[in-house]
Amino acid sequence: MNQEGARSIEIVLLTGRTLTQGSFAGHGKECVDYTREVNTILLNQEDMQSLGVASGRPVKVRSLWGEARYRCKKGDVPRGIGFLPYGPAANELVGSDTGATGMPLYKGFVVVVGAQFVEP
Amino acid sequence: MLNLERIIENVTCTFCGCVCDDVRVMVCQNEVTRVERACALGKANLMRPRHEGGVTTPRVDGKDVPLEYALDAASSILSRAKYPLIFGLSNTTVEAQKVAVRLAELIGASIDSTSSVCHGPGTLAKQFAGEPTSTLGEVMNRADLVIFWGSNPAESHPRHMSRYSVTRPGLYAPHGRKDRTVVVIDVRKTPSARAADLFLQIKPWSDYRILTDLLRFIKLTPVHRLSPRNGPNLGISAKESGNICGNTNVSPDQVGPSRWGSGDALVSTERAKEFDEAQKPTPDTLRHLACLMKNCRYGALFYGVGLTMSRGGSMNVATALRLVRELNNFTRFVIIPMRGHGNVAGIDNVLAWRTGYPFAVNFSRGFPRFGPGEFSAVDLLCRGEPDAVLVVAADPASSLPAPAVEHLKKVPTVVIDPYVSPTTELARVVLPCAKAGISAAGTYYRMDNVPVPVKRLVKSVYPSDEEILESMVTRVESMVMRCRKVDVK
Repeated sequence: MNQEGARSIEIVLLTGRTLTQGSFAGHGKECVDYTREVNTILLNQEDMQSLGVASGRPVKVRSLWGEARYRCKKGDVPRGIGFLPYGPAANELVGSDTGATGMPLYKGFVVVVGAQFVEP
Repeated sequence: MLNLERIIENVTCTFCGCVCDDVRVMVCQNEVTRVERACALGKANLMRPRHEGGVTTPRVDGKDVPLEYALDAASSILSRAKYPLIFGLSNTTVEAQKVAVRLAELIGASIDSTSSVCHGPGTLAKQFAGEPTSTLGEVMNRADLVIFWGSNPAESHPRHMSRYSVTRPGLYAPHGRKDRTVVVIDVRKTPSARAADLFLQIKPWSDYRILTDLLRFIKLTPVHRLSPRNGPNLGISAKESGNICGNTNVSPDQVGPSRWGSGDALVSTERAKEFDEAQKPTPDTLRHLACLMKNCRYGALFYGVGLTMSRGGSMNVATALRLVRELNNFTRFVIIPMRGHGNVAGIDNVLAWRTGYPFAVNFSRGFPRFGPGEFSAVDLLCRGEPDAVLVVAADPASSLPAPAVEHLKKVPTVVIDPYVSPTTELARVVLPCAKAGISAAGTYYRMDNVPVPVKRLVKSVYPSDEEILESMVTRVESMVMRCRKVDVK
């Protein structure tokens, strides 16, 4: 049964490059390593505790522009901040408004992270 | 047949904006078998076989076709389109970029590079604030203070620190890392932060405020030069310089650098230990940073997409540029963007010298018009305006927001790319090409706008981007001429 996570928190999401993501940035995006990397959100340990999720468990992330499911992992990020590697999965949450610069807000937008009890 | 391994020296890696040109590559039977001196990203770039597990021939509507047929189909789509878009171009040679601009002019297209979703806001900022800059070689030889702001070179440009900015000994920094102070300013503690003397952990959206605060502190903190051996003494005593700065209450001892001894970096080892933990951007920390910036001999500020991709991107960079300009009243300070894609600086240059504008250029009226927000790829695609798209050496399906990708799926898309990607999967026409820097030669621009030649290491059965684009230009020209003759009749 698809149970929605009861607990959720609001965090600021940053997207960015990692070595693994970068290694497959030009080619090889069908690889399992790449897919796993770009579908993993790094969260602060305390945030994960307040959500009640452990590393490797799925979470649902919702922004103003979209939502997607990711695996969460403990990362070296401050409380209230999440990090997602660049990729199609992160772009589900990115908006289309560029503020007349051509650049959408890839870093520093608010999302709601909810615990999920189903596999992503 | 003998399996002789051929060693090629001074190969240029084309992955990131560092464009390292000292890589050694071993080639055997037309395959790259070993790569030395490159980083993990460079090795992955040079070693990966082309089209692994994917298409190896030109495709139209999912069917394998001869190259000529695919070229005809692509040219037909583009010449019939009323409002086409040409996008990408940051992973190909300057020579191919020039032809792409000609094609855009011919079909009245909008042309935009991945620069607009990378350092575009920074480029806008340069237009109204100017850019005090230098080459990376100058930084390597002279810099004693290196600041990375919103950039994580350890993961995005792995050889930047060792080849250009931090550990490599230079003419005026003979001990390399020991002669330099490294400051990292970022929202999260990245791997680069661990290599810094001072790591300033800031909150999201606070870049502009902190840059403005620094600008103010620069005006308030005194100049106190190091000994002549360590740097050029302008002949002004610390006290006098404090007076010049309008702050007579701060004594040189409070400022710091004078007690850290000559021959060391501005932050001593003992002091570096204090900075092991992240510093918060308190007024004291910022005053200290301002002091470091103002009293260095030669400073370099490298800014990454942390400044351009967050809220107020162009204003963040404009303030950083103003800060560096202000610092040049006291010392030599430069600012260089950490460009991501291999030749993204190249397409900025090519577009600028061909059209006068660096990105988001539109030719629909027959002459170039500049319009970030209007003619930039994300805005055009999200508004659903282009009726055909040509993608060259890029993967917008992986790098653009979902609404833009949705429109890409609806319109006929032509992709010129050496590799299989989510974009080739949704394209109407796929034209495989030789990979620049591996099976095609040309020129790349480094992040400091220095052109670097790239070599061909192996032979490819496919033409280069430049050759494919040339063929398309020839075909489109003949189609346009045919249409004109029909109109005249």
